[in-house]
Amino acid sequence: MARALSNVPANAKRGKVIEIKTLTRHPMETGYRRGASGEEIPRDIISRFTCTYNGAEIFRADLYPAIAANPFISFFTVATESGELVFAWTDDHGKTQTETAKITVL
Amino acid sequence: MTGRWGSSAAVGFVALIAIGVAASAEIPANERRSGFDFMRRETQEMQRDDTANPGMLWVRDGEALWNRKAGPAERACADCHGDAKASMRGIAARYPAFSAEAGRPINLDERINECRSERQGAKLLPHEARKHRAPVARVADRAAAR
Amino acid sequence: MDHQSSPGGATRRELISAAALVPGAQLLSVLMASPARASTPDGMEASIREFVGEASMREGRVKLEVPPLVDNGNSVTLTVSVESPMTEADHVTRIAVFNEKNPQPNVAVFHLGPRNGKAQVQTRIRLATSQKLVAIARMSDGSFWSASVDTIVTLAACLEG
Repeated sequence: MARALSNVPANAKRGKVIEIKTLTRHPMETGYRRGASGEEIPRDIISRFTCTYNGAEIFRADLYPAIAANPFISFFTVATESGELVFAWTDDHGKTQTETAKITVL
Repeated sequence: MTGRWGSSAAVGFVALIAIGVAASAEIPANERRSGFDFMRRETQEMQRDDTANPGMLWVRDGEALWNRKAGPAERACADCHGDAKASMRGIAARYPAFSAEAGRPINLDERINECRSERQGAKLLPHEARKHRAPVARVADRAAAR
Repeated sequence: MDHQSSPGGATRRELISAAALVPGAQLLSVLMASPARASTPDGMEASIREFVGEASMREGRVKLEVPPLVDNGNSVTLTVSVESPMTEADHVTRIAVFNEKNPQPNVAVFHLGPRNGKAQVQTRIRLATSQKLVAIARMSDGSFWSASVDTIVTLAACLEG
């Protein structure tokens, strides 16, 4: 199942500042909603998003229930070297899912 | 009827009224606008951008499900319909459509289920379930004029 | 991609709205969150103090973009950009976004560094009602800069009913 989308370009010129957009599937259950019988639906959100570029963390976001479902996060990074960008989404329970994108820097 | 209003004029008059009624019910083709035009700029940008549009997550799922074999005959959508990009082009605009089999109009969800049960012999996908929405999204996405 | 004249354009829009409202279950759920949950301007002030500490905050250098009139509080595009050369010597280290009237005052905290090249982030947030949003940037020299925006929300998130 498609868990996440990102738009990392396959190639980039060295030194160019590129915009990275990421989108992942997650209900971001706030914990404020009530179910059909009035019971509280427990909170279940992605609370942290990180991006590492060849192992070095270049971006991090701490997320709260105010972030909309299927969180979309966009940020910028300098294309420094060829390699891998790894995106990691971690939820309240510590579970992490990752996606990898390769980039060639010319 | 004879007299000043000859029969041909009477027919012409009735025809004119009929056309007038029909014309007032339809917006002229060059004035028709897609709902897209009424959306806010941010929403329009979100729809245009394949990485920002959350529906694309389901479209991707649909791509996978399109090729997945189902039913006792082990048939995938692709086996009959080939590449959805070509065969499903414009299809979302043609539904709901009348189905001779069902004897009533059906929408795209139901049409997919019809295929699943009649031609794949597979279980029906529950309405609105994630697995169902994905192929619908995929099929509909291929339909969007690009 | 010509969407203007495409009848298929409606389907893609339906996809967005369906995805924004959480698949399936939300349509069945029943509402009435307790009113005591809504946070207050004081709650936001306290969270801001926690982020800024003893330092003073100046308005400027930060641009917070949110549509002034929000159709659907469940998914509001928010962009924060900060004027900064983003060099090793002078860059943004954190951008925090706060809200006034959601059940909780924090929205997100973004951690940046010189490797970002540009101090700009975008995400989509939920807004429970018309309210003020504040974005604060912390610079590498320890200074804090802020911007705020007032929004009008026609369809609320978080508090149903």
